[in-house]
Amino acid sequence: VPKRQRYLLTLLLLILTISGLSRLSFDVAFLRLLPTQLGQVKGLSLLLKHFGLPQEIVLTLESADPDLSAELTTSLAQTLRQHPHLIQRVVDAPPWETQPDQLAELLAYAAINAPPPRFAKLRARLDPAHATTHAAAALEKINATLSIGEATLLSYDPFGILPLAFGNEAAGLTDLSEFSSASGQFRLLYAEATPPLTSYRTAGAWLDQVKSVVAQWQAQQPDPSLFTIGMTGEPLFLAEISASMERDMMLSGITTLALVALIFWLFYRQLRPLFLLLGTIALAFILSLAASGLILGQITVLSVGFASILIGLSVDYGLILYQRRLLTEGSVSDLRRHTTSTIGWAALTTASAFLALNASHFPGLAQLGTLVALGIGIAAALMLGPFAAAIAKLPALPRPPIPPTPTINRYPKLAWGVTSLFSLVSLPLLVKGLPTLDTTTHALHPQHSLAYQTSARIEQVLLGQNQRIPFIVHADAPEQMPERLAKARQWLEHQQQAGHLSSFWLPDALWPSAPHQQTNLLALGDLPSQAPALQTALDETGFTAEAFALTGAVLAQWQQFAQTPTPLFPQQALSLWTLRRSIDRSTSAPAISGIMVPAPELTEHAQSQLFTSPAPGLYPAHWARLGTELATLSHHDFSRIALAFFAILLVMLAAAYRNLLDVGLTVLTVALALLGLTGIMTLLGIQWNFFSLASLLLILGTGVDYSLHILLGLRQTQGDWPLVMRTIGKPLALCALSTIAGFGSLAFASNLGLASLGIVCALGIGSNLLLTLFLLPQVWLRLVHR
Amino acid sequence: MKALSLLAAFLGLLTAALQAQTTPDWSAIADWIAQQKKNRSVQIEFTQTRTLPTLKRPQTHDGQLWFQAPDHFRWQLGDPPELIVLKRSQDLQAIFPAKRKAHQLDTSPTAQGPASEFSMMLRYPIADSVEAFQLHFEVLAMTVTAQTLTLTLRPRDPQARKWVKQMTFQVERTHGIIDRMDLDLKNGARLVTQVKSATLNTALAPALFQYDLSAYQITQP
Repeated sequence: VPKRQRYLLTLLLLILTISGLSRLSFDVAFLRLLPTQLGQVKGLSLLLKHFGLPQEIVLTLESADPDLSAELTTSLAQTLRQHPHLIQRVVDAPPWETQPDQLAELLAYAAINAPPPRFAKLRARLDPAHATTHAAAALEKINATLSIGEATLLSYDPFGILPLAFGNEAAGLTDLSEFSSASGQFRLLYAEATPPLTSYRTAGAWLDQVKSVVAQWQAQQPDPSLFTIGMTGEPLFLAEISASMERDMMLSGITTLALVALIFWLFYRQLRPLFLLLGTIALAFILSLAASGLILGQITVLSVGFASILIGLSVDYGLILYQRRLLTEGSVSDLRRHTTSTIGWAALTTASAFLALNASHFPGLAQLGTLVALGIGIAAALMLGPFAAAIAKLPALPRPPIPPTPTINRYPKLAWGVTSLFSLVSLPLLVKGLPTLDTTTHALHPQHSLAYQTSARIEQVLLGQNQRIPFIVHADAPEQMPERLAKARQWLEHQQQAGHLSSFWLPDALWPSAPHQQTNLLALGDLPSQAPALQTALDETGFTAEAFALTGAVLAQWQQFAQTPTPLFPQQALSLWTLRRSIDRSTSAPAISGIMVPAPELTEHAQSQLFTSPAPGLYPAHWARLGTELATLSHHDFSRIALAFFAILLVMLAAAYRNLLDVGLTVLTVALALLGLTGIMTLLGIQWNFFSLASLLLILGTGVDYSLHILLGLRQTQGDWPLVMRTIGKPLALCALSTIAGFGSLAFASNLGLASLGIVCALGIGSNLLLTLFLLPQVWLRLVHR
Repeated sequence: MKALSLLAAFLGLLTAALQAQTTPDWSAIADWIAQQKKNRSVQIEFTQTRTLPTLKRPQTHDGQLWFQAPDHFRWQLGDPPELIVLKRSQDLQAIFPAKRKAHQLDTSPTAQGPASEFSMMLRYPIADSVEAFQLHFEVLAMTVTAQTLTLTLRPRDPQARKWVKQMTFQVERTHGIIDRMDLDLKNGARLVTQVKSATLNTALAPALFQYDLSAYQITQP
């Protein structure tokens, strides 16, 4: 290539790399790792999309004493309010309790938006002509009720506006307190950030400051051991997951690189080729990252593992080239001629194995597969290109030492050792059986996360385990929402009648309905101007002026509504704060969230009806059900891919060996490796999960690959296994050890799925290595020379 | 030296006096429970006064209470009764005769709402033992004389604690009958039950604990 064109190409590559790297971002939404066709994934994704609040964190405070919890929560809220540059709003108690006057707008809106027959009832109740009768009835009820709560509510709302405005759903609203558990021991407060949290770095910096304020407040308390503080919310999830992804990628990448360097040094003790190798790997990594930035844009928590997998695999090509360079002198062309075929085919086979992950329904795995395949292609090209050119120019290198005969003579004995080891590690299978599949969504979560812990505690305390399930009603356009809501209510009522649901709460009355509002405003007439008559009625019945405050404020709000064009929607901050938790109208495709309570002990069929075929646009968001759906799908998914993969491998083996015995021995070796792996997993109590299942394909692929090298070598040398060990065994061991280092370093990843994938792959590849190096050649020799 | 000894003695006395004030006299409570247990049946007439911040005048109603050991209970308010609460074992109903309505109440330990809020008023005896009493109540203040025991308590039940600031019992010690009970709520409301008369250990008609609900609309918890 002419020099000028070479410069232009380098410049182009540099621009593409910078552009790709700058486009790259972390996708912290772990739900995107999961199959989108699953109802629960859709429901949970919609819930997070529409009701996740990027500027808000939730702080929890828990103690054994409800009074202490209440007192401390108020104190913490006051402390946070003293930092307006950090937090613009702190809400620590239901706004309708602390600022009942501000509840008027929401109440007035709910009433005017209600179905006209319901509003007509309310209008009649507020008719000044019968106001005294209604006030007296309220007083009678206050005197007779058993419930302190009901008496209190009635004394502030004697005309009963609240239940008629919200309909039967009022119970759902008051029951679902977002500020305290029923016991009062667990309390929540909501804090909204003042600075815009535009990235995970700004969110992280802001959270550090908030945490510091909280820690100082905590230290000032007389006995901080009496209570615990939790924190969650979208900014915390974003900061925690992004930071851990970045850390995982760096740590596992650096660890793998260091281990690869160590292995290389132990085998060859040459510095220059080592630096060349590390430099090429680093370049391959950067280019792969840039390519993924250009192609994919965002990378998920799972794909973070690609760095170490890529390093572990790409180093193999470098080692093959280097081993060849040691054994034969010659030009770059000679070196490439001898190795292109091997490296090319190896890269193609491995890339194909990783690309096979695209057949999975799990987008997270598919992306990981694509990323590794892309990286392998780039790494193979770099190794055969600049790396080969560089090592070819190295001065004459010392020949590798030939292993002393006694070492090789020990191999048959080692075969017995490996057989005994595999028999031993397989024993737990007889006692405890195969490792089970973890059907929970545990594998999706980070190992240590304050946001997750707090979020799980909130769910446990406020929603109750598996008792209250959120759902979303989603519409493609605002005009479609009334129809969706009507169908959703119809379906929910049907499920309740069928005994599948104990109860449900759908805040459909809060969705703005212009026809309802117009009819109700007409029916309202001059009622707002008759407020004094209503107040007199209450006064004569024995109520104080305080009892009229809410009614008066609602009437004033209606008067204001009468002069505003429909459709109306509340404007005050407190109303919006409350409604934002149930209604999202910020996008052209709006959503409403509700709650359903399934009947206890539902059959699988009933559950399936409830969760898999709801009304159009209704999506339950049920974590526990997600696990069941994932287990079914992954079982089906995995069986399908594994069968196809195995069939392809058999065909490849048959074509390569053209010998039934070798095919059988390879299948047996891989089967033994899997047996050993499952035995170790059972022994260590490691379960399969949705992500580690994918490792089976990789183990199958590497097992076949290693067997292929050894058996073909034995055939080519007519069974000269000491020679095979020297020429193939050593680089194979080096490659396997570097791959194990790559996968093994993921064991410390924050994401549990990624960590388990790394552990299982490392164990499986280790099993493959032991069997193909020490047992397979001996068995082959005995059978062939029999 | 003498001054120091006097100061030490004074401090000792002061500490002892403070301990006497804050440490409940559990024997007096044990006596009360024992007296209550002796009563196999109780019939009480009372006046209940509800004072709310949103009401100009306190609301006063007469009421009656019957208890038959081991677990039959009837409490009613108004004459004729506007509200009757009937308890037989774990079966608890709130009956509104004028409206021909009845609510079956949830008596499970996890129950929320009226049954939970009302549960502390349905206990007779107040507790089975001093240990059980300690599990249900925190003693805020206590005065014991030969005739009366005055106890200011705070319920330990989180449901009740959400509303109740404190409750004060004035107990007649000879028979263990509550003369007066003041329930102070956190929202400033107050509920005072003043006993007018009490009859102990007489035969109560079984029909008192039965109620014909055949023409009633009954709602389940």
